[in-house]
Amino acid sequence: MKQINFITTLSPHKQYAIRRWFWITFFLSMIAILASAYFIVPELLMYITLKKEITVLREQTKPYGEHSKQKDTLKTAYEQSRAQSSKVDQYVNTPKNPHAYIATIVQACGDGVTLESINLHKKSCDITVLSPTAEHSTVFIKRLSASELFTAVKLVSLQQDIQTKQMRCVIKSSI
Amino acid sequence: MMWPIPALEHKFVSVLFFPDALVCCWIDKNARDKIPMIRAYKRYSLDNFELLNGMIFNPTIIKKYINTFLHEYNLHDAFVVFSLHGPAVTEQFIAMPTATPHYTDFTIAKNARSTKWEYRYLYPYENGQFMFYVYSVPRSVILQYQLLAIGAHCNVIKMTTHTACILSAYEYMFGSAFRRSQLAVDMMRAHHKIDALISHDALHRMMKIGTDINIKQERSYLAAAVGAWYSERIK
Repeated sequence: MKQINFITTLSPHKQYAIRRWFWITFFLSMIAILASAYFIVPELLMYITLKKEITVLREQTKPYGEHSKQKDTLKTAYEQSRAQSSKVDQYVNTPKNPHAYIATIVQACGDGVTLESINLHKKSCDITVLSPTAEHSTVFIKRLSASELFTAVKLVSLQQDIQTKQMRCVIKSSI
Repeated sequence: MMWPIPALEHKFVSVLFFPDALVCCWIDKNARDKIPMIRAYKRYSLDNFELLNGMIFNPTIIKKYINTFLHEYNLHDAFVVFSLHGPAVTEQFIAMPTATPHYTDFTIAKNARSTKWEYRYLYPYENGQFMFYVYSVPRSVILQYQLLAIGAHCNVIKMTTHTACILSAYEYMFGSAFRRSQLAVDMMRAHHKIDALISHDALHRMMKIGTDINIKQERSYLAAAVGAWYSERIK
């Protein structure tokens, strides 16, 4: 017999269907969330760790600009000094440089002998020294003669200086 | 409550509204022999015009009765069927010359806007006529009961008439052997007094009833309750 119902309601079957739908949806959602979490959580943790590391590195590299500026300044200074030293080296190593001659003369002076003047010409030089005794002058000439840079070392004059009470010795040599 | 978690109970409660009584009945199927049994039954007398001509005049007390019954047996989420009986429900058995009449063939259709009415075919009648059960309820009355159900937080799935419940009980009594011709014979024998269709012996056969219930006194109510239960076929 056909049923009589004054009101339109959800039948028990539909209510059960809604309940089934609810629980199935709930469980499927939970499964989906758990599965997503299984893949996402490790990535998320890694992201958090990397972010922390980035923050630490950023803190560490904060004075990088200053260091870089300082480095640039130092580099410029180094290049300038290098250019200067290379110039000096070049000057020192030049064959016509009188440095070696002067150094040899200064080395030969020894104790008591004072270098008064040096006149370097193209192939000769005149050296004037003040020595306490004539022996000192002789020793100086011998030392100079021993050097390979000077040849034909000759004593031109040896005079006593009354004011200083020393011997003024003028030496001529070929270079 | 349907949302967010639809909590449903596989329980069925009939709430029967009579002019002088309110009957609440919890029927459940026996797990062992699948025969319905009365788990709880309560009849509240309505002597102070709580219900008059089917109109609810004291919804508070009626709500209280229903809620008391539901709370006592923990039936908050049970499926509930309201059965109405009284002058508010106009019921007729009408013989028609055709088995498939049109709505306009019924004279009751004139007041269709303010009332809800419907007809059901019952059985073949004498002289080639066909008997129909026609009922009519004012829509205001239906609204009253709907508001009552909302106020009482009942999961009402059906609102029907007492006669429809008795007819369902009759169908349940015969089961697969139900024949409309037999219904015709029984109806004529009972002079169309629908309550007389179900005897108390038949009630005993249909369901298990506790010894605390006076079947002779409550026969009509119990028959309506089992009819309401059968009509919904809650598993």
